[in-house]
Amino acid sequence: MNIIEIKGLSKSYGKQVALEGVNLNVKKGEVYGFIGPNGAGKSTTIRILLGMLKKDGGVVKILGKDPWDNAVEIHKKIAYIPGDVNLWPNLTGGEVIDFLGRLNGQVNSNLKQELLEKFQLNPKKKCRSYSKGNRQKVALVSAFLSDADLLILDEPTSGLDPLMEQVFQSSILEAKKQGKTIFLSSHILAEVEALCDRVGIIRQGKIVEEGTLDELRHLTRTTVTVQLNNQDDIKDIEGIYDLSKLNEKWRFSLDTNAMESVMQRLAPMGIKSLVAEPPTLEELFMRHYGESDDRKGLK
Amino acid sequence: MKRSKFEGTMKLLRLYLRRDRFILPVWILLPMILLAGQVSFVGAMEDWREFITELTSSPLTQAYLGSIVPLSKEGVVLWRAMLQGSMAVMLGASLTTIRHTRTEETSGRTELLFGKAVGRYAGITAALILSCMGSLVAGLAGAAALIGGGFALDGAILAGLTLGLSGCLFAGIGALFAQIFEHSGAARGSIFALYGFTMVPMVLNNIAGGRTIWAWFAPESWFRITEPFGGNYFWSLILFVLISLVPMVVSIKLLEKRDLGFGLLRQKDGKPNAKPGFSTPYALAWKQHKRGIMIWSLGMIFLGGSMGIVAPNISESISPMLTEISSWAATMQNLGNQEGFVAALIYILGLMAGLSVFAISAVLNLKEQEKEHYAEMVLSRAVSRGRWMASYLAVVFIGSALILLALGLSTGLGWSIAAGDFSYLIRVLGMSLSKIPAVWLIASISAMLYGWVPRFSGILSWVILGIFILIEMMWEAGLVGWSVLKLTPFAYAHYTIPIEKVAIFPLVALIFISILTVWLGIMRFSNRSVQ
Repeated sequence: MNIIEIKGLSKSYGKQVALEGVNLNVKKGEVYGFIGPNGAGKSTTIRILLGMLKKDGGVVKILGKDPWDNAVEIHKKIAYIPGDVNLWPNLTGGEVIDFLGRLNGQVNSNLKQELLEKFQLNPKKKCRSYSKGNRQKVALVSAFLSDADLLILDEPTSGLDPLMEQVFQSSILEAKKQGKTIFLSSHILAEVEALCDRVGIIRQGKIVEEGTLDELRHLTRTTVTVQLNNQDDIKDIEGIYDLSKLNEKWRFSLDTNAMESVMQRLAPMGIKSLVAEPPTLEELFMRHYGESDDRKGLK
Repeated sequence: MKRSKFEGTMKLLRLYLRRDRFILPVWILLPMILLAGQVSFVGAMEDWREFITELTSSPLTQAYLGSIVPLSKEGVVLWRAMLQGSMAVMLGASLTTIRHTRTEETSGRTELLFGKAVGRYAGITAALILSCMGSLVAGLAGAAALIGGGFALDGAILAGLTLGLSGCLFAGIGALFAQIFEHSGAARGSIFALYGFTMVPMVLNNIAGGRTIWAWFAPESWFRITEPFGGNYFWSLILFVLISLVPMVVSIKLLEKRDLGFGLLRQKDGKPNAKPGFSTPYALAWKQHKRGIMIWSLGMIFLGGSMGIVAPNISESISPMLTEISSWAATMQNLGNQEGFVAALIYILGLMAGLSVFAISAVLNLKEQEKEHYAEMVLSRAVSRGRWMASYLAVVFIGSALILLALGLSTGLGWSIAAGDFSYLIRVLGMSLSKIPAVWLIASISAMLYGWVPRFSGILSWVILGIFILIEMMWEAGLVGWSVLKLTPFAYAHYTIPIEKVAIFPLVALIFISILTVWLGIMRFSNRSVQ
């Protein structure tokens, strides 16, 4: 069952096109990573999902309903962390957590206490004196405190320290275990790699890649470092690229589907050591980020 | 003070000029327009001397505007225009200073600039230069208008400089408040409050003859001290300059004492848990506006109470001549000078210049809530847009009624105690509460604009209020009739109508119109994108 269904979604701000035909589906119980460069349309998509922005065209269904027409009903079942967490300066963090929780029902004060300790947040401070990271913690505690079926998180960890990043990741996995669905927009690729079942890459208002990490990896090259007994040159082997040699070790990349044939050529040369690194999400990502030149004309 | 602490001042000044390119001319040119208007208005009057002599003989006019010094065309122009002119520069200069200091600091933009080669004092210095230069240019432009009307050069320049320096003092006070308060809203509110307080020495000075020590405490009365076209006391300007420098120097000293982003009044820790009832958008709106409502109420209690106590000192004599030549004076005669004074006070504070400002700025806070993404935090929960907006508006409506209640009670009590007659209390309370429908309508218009044209709702709300006030002034000057004034909400609980003669039906109608207007605004808000 699809928790989020987006088909052909388009949105413009005046003449500026923000989204042009976004398609994506998020299944129940999965963690979906939503990545893309700044200004690609991530926050616009999310704010349409929340019913804050009116779409220009396409179909958007969240928990089976249109978010613009059924905002309140849907919001009862979701928790949201905005990209910029701005909190009322004259309220304390604790007051905000209670208030936001109560707008949707009851606040479980034991769980609240537990989360405050877990995220090491002082709830007595006024929000105006919180740092960016602390404001994010308020939003995180508030989101994990809710009994929402779907968490929509817009770059929730961009201000957190590595320790808190760990706490965040364990909380997400915990939420997943409880059967919750998570829609995570993030720039921290290690986080997406660690958490997400599936990933969608958005660029200039379109989804350019979608799938599991394994599926996406197939689209790009693996990096191999190999040390051989034989001193033969290997540059003639078909399917390898970017060859270099350092300290007796060859380093090259190869197409994933050429793996078998390349290995068959290497094996007779006497492999001393071999390390194959699958493409990192970062490499996948750079493939889409770096290509901006060819589309400049479209701006 | 090291010179490097001022580095970048001129660059920032250019930035501020660029940012203020639309708003700066408004407050700078206003005094000139007012003065030029009066020059041509009085110039066109054949029998101005007769008219004005009679008008100033009214103790009521005396209290608000003082006597005409010198008793010449020049004096009349100053008498009619200096008060409003200095109000424009005092508020313009101080709000400009706050806009470029505290507002920038709260938003974090100051930090962005101070990461560059910009000295610690550069921002505040550039802001002060901008507002002081603006005030002085405003004064000189006003002087030019006077000279253009054929008035004496020295008097015109003295009047202009007096006006400009009143702006310089408030520029400095704006900078001072920007140091003390951590929030620009609090700093701005305190400026309005301070301006309100200066009305007390202004009136005391007017009642006591026009040239007393009180005038020093009210910059809008400084032209009483310099007496342009009369005594031409240029030397007082030196004192004004010295007085104006004090808050500026203190602000820069204070800047040295505090951390960036903080005020002098430090934040204390709060409660780790919210109170049990803090669970609805209405509770949130109330929490946001509670302080403002309290401050407004206290201000009204102070102003209303002190003016109420002054009321019995006003002579009840009215010249029969005056009532013949002015229809306004004739209506006021029905009320009597004391009641007329109080009725006009309640009208100005409770509607025209006081509560309208509260209502509009409180409604426009919705815009702020949306822009700062506070609205998003609430609207992403199980709260509909209509409920969110209605909650805030309910607080504005109830809040303005509470402030009017405070105004009526304090003014009525002040007058009753001073006169020893408690029947005044009920009358004054009636005057004050009868303003509620008009204030609500003004709030509702802003709310509708917020729903339909959020970007322009601020400027449009103030322009509409400005038009209402202009119509009121034109009516008082006899330029338009009552039927035109009835196009504004002001006419239905007008101060010239004795309170027992105020018709109930139009007030009820005003309430219905405002409910309808609010409904239109909420409908649209529920159906537009949230920014």
